[in-house]
Amino acid sequence: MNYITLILSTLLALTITAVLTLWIFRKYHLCDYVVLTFLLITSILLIYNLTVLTITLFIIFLIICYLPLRKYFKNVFNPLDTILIILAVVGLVIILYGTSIIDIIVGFVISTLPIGFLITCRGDVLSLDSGLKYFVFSSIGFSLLITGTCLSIASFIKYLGFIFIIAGFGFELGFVPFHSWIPDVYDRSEPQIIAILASIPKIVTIIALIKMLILLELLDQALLKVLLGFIAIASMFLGNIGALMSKDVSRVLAYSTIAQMGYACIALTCLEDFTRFALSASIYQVIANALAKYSLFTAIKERVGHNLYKFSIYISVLSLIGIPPTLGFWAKLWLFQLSVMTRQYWLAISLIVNTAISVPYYIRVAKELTSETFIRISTITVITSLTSIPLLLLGVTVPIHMLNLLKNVPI
Amino acid sequence: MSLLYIIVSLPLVLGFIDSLSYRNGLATCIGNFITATTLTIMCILGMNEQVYLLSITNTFKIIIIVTVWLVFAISIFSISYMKYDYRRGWFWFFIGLFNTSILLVILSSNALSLIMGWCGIEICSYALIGHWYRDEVEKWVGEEHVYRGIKYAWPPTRASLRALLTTEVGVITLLLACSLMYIYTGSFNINDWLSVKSNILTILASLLFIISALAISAQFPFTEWLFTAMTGPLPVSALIHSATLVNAGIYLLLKVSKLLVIIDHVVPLHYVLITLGLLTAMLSSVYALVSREFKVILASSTASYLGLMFTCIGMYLKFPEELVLNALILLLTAHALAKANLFLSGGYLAKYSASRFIDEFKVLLRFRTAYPIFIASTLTLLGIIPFNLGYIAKELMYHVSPIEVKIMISILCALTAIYMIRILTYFIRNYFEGRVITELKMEYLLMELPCLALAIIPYVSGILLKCEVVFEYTLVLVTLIAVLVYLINYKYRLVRVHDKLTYFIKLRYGLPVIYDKTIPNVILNFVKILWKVEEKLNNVMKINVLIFKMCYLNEKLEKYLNKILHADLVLYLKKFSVTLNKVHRAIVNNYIVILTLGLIVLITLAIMVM
Repeated sequence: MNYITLILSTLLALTITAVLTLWIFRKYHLCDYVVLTFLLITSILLIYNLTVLTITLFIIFLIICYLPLRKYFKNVFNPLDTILIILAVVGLVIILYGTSIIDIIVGFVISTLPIGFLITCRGDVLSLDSGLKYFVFSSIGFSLLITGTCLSIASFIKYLGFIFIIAGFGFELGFVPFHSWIPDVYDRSEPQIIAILASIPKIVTIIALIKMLILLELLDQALLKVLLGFIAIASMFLGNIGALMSKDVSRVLAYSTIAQMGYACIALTCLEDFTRFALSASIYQVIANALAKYSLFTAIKERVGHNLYKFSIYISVLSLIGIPPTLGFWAKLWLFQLSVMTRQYWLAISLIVNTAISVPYYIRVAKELTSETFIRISTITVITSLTSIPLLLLGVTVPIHMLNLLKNVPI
Repeated sequence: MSLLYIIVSLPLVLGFIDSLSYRNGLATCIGNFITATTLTIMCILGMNEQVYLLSITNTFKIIIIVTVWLVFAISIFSISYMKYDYRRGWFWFFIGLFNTSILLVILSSNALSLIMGWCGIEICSYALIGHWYRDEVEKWVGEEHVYRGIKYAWPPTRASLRALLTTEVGVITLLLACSLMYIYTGSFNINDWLSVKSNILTILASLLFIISALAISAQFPFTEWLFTAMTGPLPVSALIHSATLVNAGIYLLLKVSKLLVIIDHVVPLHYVLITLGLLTAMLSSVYALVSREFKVILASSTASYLGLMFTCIGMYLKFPEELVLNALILLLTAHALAKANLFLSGGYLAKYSASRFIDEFKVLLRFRTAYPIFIASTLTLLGIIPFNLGYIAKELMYHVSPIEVKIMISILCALTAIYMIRILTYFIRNYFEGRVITELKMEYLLMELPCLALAIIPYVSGILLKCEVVFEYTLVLVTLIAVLVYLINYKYRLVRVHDKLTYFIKLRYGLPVIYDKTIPNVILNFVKILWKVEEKLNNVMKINVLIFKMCYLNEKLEKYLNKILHADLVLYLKKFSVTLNKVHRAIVNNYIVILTLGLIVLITLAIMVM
């Protein structure tokens, strides 16, 4: 498979998405042609960027994994949900190819909010409650984000704008002062929905955040290192310590998401010095987290004793801990390298300490998910096994990318 | 990503899937088949594909094709052979790993991948020799002699450890040699090593290369491990310990042959190789004359043929001509095909007899074509049928070698003939009493087809080769005379070998004593001496008191550390975690408080930094 076929296949996927969206919008009389024009223009002006293509393909893969689930839970899901998922992709594409601040904000809203609708799909009090929480906090986040953007553009009290932008995206990512909705919402909703909520919006948001920081020229702020470093350390410690004594698997995974986002935040502190390096590190970290979380959350509902299933569960958990040859290890190694190269030794040390803290509860999760001995094969098992394959494959290809980057960067 | 990487790693991946799914090796067979076809096509079409680590070179084309198809044929055979085994998941995983590793060894043009493959085949050898880890008595190798406190019977676990420890010498020397060459040339690419000047470093490196080749190919100082390696399952003996793994030493020497030729002008390396090769060949052939175990006879025959190949390489170092190289590769191919098939067809027959000793074969199962196949492969090995691959190889080697080696080769041919006829007579005696399988099952078909293919290929390829060398018929004559003499002696009992001499040969010239007793004792004594020296040094320097004090301090420190790390820290972490869980329990007020506090902290931080 060479480069041109990759680009062509992405184009094809994008066109199919566009046609589907058009059809669905017409059917339900929701003619929002603004989104469509965005999509068409961006698909024509495809930037030749391999990372972007990988991310798009990867998210399409996750969604393909999601589609069979809809058949499986006929009483839970609504056919309307497809629109929500496709909207998420549209938002992602807008963020990836967008060139202005408005694009990013619109894409961010489009890609994160629709998945929030899915939380309420079960229809009982608990899920409605958590859905409402998600909405309330997301709207607080959006308002903060827009305020922050205005403040930074206006260029007086720029640091306040910076904090507000971090806060706005932090609500979605689960950075520490803004994380409080995550354990509750993850715990009380349908695990299959949370599998999506914990994977796709995280990737989208981190790209949006990086792009926003670059577009607003906030990278040279002395504040960036201190604030983001503080947030990173707080998120890591709080997430890992909170997960230690949590009883429910989904609650443990919720705390673990906070911690993993803390790891990704380390990369953001190095954006100024090693832009390409930090970008790749953060994206790989988020992708590793997304894949592992997807497979683990999917496995919560149906546990089986099949060997392949067990193997994939262990692979996901190993990747979350950060043990080679999985993707998680390379992402963490990269983050460690970055924090050492920018002389932020406190971040490097806390990264290692947190890895040590996180081992017991991850092992507990793996044990609990593989405790079943009854062997059968279902759609869910297949999906859980499928998602662990990229973790291993990327674990082989990422080091090569890493080496190539290292050759250009003076240490 | 290059195609070669994918092809090479395919068997490993599919073998891994097999080991997880506990199926019967179908995935591994498919992987081996895909690898075999793709590599054959690449070799035949002359696609000299080169990637960073691997490359297909002209010298190795025949070897590649033979190896991949041998692995495929034997894995097809093992589908039905290993069907009811209690550990087949691991078996298939290691077969896959072995295919990948041996391909790495053959294809690699870089020292790093060569070492990777080398270690891989050794791990596979270890795991597959000790495959039946429960040590059932019928899986042992050796007879119940006891000589100087050494029992001449080895269970699978001990045999595997023995093989690993011996071949590990080869790994160490290979690592050392590669690092020496890296120091001298500054590159891991093997092609960069081939045009160096002779120098102390390179001489040392080439000697180390030769030692590692000797170790993996079971040549003279290291022959022992191959005899006890026969505790593994039959396909393992056929594949690894006769056809592919033991040839790795020759592959290595072929890879660095140009370097060795350069060194040979200064240090006579060819002399070492020829001497050791012929010595091994003689010793193991003579042992094959008296051994009673079917598999061990074939193993010693393998060792002797490898000795011939080493002789060939030695001659190549002296006279670097194309003809010698061709003789070597033909001999290797013929031997691999014949020996694998002898193991498979003969061993399958032996499995259904009551014992592993040839003179105790009671009732042999007569599955339709096993006897013709066995005899065909025997003839290939002996090399007496004209236009057969084995015949051409032997004649070619005889043609290129000097007169001293010619004499040795004729003697070896006579010995080969005698021990092969020894097996055959026992087989034939049992043939007329054996049970016959009449019903044709898929299982038997799956076992027959690879055997049939392996038996026919040497004949067909020998005719297709159209060799133009003038042949002398000495070898055939010698072989036939040896067979006649043996048969006459067998009938009339004219000559009897002295019992003590037979017993001494049966003890393998006492070599196992050196390996199982002397070397461990030497190492143990060495450790003891070191221990004593250290003790005395301690006494002299009064380190003991100091160490005692430090231990006391350390104990105290550890006590406190233990308390802090394992009691207090855990307790507080737990408390903190529980508190966090309580805070995050569905109370929106808490959320707002956390959010506000967090924002205030962030803003104060920002103000402090600004």
